[in-house]
Amino acid sequence: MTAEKKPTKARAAKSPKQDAAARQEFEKTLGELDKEFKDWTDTIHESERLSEDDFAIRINARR
Amino acid sequence: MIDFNQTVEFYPFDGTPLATRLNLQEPPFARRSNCFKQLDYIGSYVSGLNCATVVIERRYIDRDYMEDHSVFYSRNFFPYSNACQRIHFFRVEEARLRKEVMALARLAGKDGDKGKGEYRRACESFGEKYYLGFCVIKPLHGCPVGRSVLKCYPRDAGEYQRLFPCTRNYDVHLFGIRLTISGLAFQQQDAGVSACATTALWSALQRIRSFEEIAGATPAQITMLASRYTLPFGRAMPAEGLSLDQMCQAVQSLGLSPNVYRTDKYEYGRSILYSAAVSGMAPILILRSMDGKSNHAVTVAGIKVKAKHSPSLLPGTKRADAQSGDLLAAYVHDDRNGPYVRASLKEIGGKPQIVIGLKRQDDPSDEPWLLSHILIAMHSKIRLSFGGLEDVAAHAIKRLHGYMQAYMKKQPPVVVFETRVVRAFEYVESLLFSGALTGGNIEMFYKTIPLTRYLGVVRLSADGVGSLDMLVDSTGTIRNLHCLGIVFRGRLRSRSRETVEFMAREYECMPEKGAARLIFLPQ
Repeated sequence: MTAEKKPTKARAAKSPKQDAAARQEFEKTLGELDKEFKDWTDTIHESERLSEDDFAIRINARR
Repeated sequence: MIDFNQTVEFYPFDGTPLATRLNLQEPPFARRSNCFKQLDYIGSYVSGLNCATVVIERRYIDRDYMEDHSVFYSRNFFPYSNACQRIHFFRVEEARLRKEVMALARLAGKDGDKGKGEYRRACESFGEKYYLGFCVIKPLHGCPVGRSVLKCYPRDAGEYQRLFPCTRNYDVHLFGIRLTISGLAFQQQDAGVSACATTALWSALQRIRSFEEIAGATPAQITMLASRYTLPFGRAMPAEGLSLDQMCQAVQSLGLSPNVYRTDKYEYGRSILYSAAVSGMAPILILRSMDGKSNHAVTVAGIKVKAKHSPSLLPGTKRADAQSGDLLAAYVHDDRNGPYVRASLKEIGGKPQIVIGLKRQDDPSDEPWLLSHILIAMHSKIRLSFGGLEDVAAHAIKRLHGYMQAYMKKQPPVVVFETRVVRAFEYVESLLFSGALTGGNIEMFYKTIPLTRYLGVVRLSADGVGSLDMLVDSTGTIRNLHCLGIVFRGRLRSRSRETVEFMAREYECMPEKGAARLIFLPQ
């Protein structure tokens, strides 16, 4: 177990130039992934957007 | 003449209907099958837990019924008593039970303070071994089942597991012996002070009261709080049901925050139900009948999950696997049927369906409902919703996948994710129980990770990376959310450290200045 004291660079990147290229690639990939997850995130947001009709339902099932 | 009728009677649990044992007679205008349905269910439930003896206290004062009596039944022309009966269930024969009780009484008088400790431990062990719970019987023979707490089903069941995170401990006293039972209180609606919406709220609040200092609310009080500002369906009592709005009003009046989710999509309904249940929040399921003509409310006490994870990708995604896909059913308190009733989760036309069954296996008599909403009463400081946590999970999975693809030039792995809201000490306790935290690293953990009272936990696990928990500040909102820290658990694989450090930087847990809020734990 270790607690990380200092920030370190991503070891996969070899130089600042390579790092910038990887970052650019990363941002591009995120854009594609946003599209992949769009349905799911839209569902999340819509399900929390409630209307008066949602709150008006009467809950009274008889025993 | 005053007759307190303070008797305690022992009977073998021999198939005699509980209604007969309790001298209950259905009222003139009611049918027996309607009046004692819940009581009969309780009888069959404890029978399944190998009940052998029942003990009946013929006079028992129950706080909840006393309040119902005070605001409603005391004003009836018929002279309803304010006292109840209470029936206890034990899985030990009567002769042995009596012997054990005597032995405990003898132990209590021995050795002063030392004896007291021994006596308490013996009570605990006795309760754990033999006690199955109790049921308060109201003097309302048309709806006799009052506050009842029964032991839950055992955890392991072959291919699946039963988990009961929405339960709590109740102390019960019988012959001076303190018996502890873990469960969630149930009672049936009386259609006087309460309908299903009130009793569902009452059960859910039982759970929250075990860890938050909120006022105790009886069914009568809940109905009154719900009806204080609005009466969309006329008078509050006799109870004709509540609107979802009124249920929220009652929750708010008790100092809690009502969180409502519309669950018209299967995977979403499943994920909210799963996350709320594993968070121990006792969610209330709002159900719509298949013909759309009536709505019902039940409270979740536990869940049934697959013992071994099987993949369940989020709709539209290629490598985001929801742990909530393992959810098979919930165990609900359904005041129309009884406690811990199986409510199987199914999909019908992309919507979540809840099928309530009273038998162990699926049966033609099972009742299907659509899960339309989920109401969760939560501490008002928890601003982040369960939907918000799902959003955080999606955000993090995208970054993890993006890193693997862009920086490591590797095909991203399938990420299994789970979301929950837990109290900080419970999270730490779980690390201690798993062996990840020990005397050697617990201080370091507290120095590294700041903890809020309630933590939003997003757990991501992937082959080749390992398992990491992103802890988010539950007092924040999704627009201004902060990651408190990242906890990596398990063996570091070849690229795990780089990946986890990248995630820590993305979520500002490795600032340019100051200590990182990232920790690697061994298990």
